[in-house]
Amino acid sequence: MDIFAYLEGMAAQHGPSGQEAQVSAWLAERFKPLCDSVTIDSLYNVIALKKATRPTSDGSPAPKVMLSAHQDEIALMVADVLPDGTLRMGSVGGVDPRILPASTVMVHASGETGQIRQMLGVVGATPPHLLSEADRGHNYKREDLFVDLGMETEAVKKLVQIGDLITLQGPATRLLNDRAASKTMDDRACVGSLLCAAEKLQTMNHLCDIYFVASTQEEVGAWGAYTAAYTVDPDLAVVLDVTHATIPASKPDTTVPLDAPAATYGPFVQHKLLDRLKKTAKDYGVALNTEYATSRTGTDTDLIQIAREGVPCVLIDLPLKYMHTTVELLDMHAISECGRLLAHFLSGLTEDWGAELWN
Amino acid sequence: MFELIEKLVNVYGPSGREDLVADTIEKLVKAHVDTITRDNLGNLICEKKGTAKAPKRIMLSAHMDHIGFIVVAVEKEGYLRVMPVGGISLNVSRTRHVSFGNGVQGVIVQEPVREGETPAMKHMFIDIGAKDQEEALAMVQLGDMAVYSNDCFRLGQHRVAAPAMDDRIACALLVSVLTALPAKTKNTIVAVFSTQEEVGCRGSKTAAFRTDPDIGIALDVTANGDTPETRLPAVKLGEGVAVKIMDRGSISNPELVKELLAAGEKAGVPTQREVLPFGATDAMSMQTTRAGVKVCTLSIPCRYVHSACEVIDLRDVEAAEKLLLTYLK
Amino acid sequence: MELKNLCEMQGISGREELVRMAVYHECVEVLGEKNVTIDRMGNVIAHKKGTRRNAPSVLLCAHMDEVGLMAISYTDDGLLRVRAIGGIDSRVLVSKRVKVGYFTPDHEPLNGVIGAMAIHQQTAEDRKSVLPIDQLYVDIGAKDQDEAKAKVPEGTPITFDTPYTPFGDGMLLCKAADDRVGCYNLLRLLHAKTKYDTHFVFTCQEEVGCRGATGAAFRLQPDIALVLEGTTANDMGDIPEAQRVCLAGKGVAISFMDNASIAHPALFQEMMALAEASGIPHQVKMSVSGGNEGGAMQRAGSGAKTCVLSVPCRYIHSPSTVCSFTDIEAQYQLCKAYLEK
Repeated sequence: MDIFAYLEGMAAQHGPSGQEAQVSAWLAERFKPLCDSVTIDSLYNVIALKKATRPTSDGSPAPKVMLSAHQDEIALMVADVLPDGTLRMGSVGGVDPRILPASTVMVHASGETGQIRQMLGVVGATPPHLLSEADRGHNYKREDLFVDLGMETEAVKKLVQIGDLITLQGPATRLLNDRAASKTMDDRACVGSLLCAAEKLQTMNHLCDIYFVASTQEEVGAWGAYTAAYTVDPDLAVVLDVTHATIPASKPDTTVPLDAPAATYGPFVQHKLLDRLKKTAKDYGVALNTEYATSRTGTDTDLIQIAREGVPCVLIDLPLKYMHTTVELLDMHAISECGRLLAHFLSGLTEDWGAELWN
Repeated sequence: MFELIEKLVNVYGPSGREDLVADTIEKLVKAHVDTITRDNLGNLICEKKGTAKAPKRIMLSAHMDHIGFIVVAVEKEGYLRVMPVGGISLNVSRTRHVSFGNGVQGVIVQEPVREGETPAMKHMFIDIGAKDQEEALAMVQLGDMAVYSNDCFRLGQHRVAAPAMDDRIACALLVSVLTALPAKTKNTIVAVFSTQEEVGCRGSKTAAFRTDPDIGIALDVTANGDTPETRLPAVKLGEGVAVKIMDRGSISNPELVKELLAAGEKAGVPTQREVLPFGATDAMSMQTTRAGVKVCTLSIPCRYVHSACEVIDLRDVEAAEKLLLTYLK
Repeated sequence: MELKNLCEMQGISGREELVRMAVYHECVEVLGEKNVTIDRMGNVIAHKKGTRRNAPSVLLCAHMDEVGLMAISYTDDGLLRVRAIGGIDSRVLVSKRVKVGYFTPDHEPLNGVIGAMAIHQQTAEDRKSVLPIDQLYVDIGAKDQDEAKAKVPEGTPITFDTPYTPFGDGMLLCKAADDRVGCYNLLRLLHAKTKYDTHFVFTCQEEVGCRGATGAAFRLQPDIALVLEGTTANDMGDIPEAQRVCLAGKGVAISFMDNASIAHPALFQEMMALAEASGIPHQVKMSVSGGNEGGAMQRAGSGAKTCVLSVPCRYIHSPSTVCSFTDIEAQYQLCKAYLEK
């Protein structure tokens, strides 16, 4: 798979939490050639099933494995149209207001007809000259900022309605050493790893039914993964999400190196399954770092684990610098290594995978 | 409508103690639905079966509970110490008349606070006129709940103020809709009068699981941005029912938002688009039930939410009713 | 099983394997293998048919896990960096002994201590400030990072090292009373002549958000759920009466409401009346505080009626929890009376 081409494609889609219709349709097309069936559910989750390629030895039903990486992105929303024609913003997920001043955004104006028209906007703020000494020392809050469409108020009011989406702009940019930056690497880069794994599995055998899920609403609480897990009712799950790579300001024990995937340990992760994942990495020469989570992982794991009667989970993390900006930076080699690790983990699942889980 | 609202806001029913509200509503809607169930959390679930071959299941939820105070200790001198049930604001609670379910009346008061100390619920007490602990315990038990006392009145020509407007106004709306619906509807309509919303949308969670709907519409109040020094949401009292696009608990399904706005247009009633930077409704728990549900919230704009005088405009309620009837037919 | 064994057993959230297997074997012994399962979360579920037909289904639960620490990395000179699993106030950790790793047939836990800078060397500022957990280290006596890493792989569970010690007047000093006292009583209740279709559930991961209970409740969908817990007693040290929550030694604490659930009003009244009628020492928990499995039990699937019955614990979530044998017995008696009445 050409990973950079995929990143360019995904960064051009928009899919804020709760409104993922466009990106889910795009992703469904990517999974179709690699899976037996692909559906989009009522919360826009893409659920792609690749059936087992070999039967269980005793004819029992194939174990079901759910893989989850989220497709939604953080964004903004029109909260009000002010008398001067600028737009006040609401936030969909955790947008850091520090990235906003002087950035360009796309306003998805629904107009009077409901037909969406994309319009470029600039995020403005009161200029520093006009601020008091004290106010200059603070970051702008979201409510101090506004979107300027470069139009008269009358025109804006005709085109833009409260509740219209405002998405961030961040096309994929190639950097040195197979590194790349774009918006929404969190977490569509991990969906890329799912596609890599699906591709590898075309020529491998597996006795489990594999459900690739590009989940939704993770940035507002992992709700897509929760309901998808209800639908799939998996025996175990592997979640992929991004984590923080080391930068100069990082505190000790809070980050991992950029160039290789990591696995999380802690109570929300089933420790015997984690051992199995680590062994797979070792057997196939995939570099795998580790990180901890004392309880919440801040990923789909948190809700998949408690879907229905519970699901044992493991969590693979893809390291990323500058999370929740429009220049999320990662190592493309790590994306494909994640995919390779997943493929071997799934292919290596044997009938007795659950035997030693709890003692 | 005013009479119905007055009847419903005057029934005692804090979170976890909604039985009397459910009794009142059950009597009002019994003749208009096919089945009525109460579940383990006290939800009143009223189902009207659809006539289509494969009818969609549409769940409408209005919560019966409202905020209150729970007695956690009784002082030797007969004063009651309380903790909040739901989002009680201290600022609007001081020296308020409150009532218990058994008719005991009280006044909630804040004791003097030391300089530099932030007033908190532990500084509040309820005076029920008891002379000592023994007399107080003969009047109320630990675990009993008090609410702001009934006080429903008209404000100007179109507006009504009362405690518990959040969310009895939606209960009144839903009762009214059930009453006005034609005898046969295409889709199955499940009207849920839910419990424990104010402590985290708990009732609607189990009710939605039991109901297993295709579409969920929460009926609730929303804050306004049209009184001095309030900015968001951009919702005004008296300018129509608000269709929620987003709050902190849920992001409405975009198609359902469109359908509801279209129903409003068809019904010829004013609608507003609501983006609320805080808050959550039963839509949150419905959306995440089972395999996921398409949801939206219809909001009645309401000033001074979670105070003893929550104000709504009857024209907004009427708009909501017409919109819903058009949508459900 | 003896309470001593249960309290001294090690089992932080997510790593309950020792408690799980011990509990599992005792359940199998009492109720037979076909009535005991371990579910997808690692909860132990034991089932006993009731003597009455068409009786409602009842679930009783107690959690197996305890709060503790987890090793996450190493200093250059071989100290362990740790993080708390569950809610631990880092002020209770300074100058305590811990067991690093679990006691298993082929592995002995290591001894560890949590030190801090000597008072002589502290600045005035140091004396005032609380040491957060990322400035506290477990010292196992390792020479360097390599040795520490080899002996204690990252993720190794660490528990308080507190022997089970009856003391004072009918009181017990131990670790993990929250909630091994509940497990202990639940095991005793396996023998009750229950009228109801009863599930005894030993849950995992309560201390990190009631994870196990959520799944078990979904699977079993009971009509009624009773939660056997350990809860905060704030009764010592000149606390105003209204803020004591509950009192150690004054009986099992029955909750009307906490942060996770509101007890079903009729079930709460039934429990109060039953305790009264049976002469079982009891008290009302005088606070809306803390959260527990009541919430998970109440709201899984289409919902259950719940009530929480707690043993008051002083200094909960610390190496030295204190509770009363009277209250432990009262919790058992009240549940037994409920099942058999």
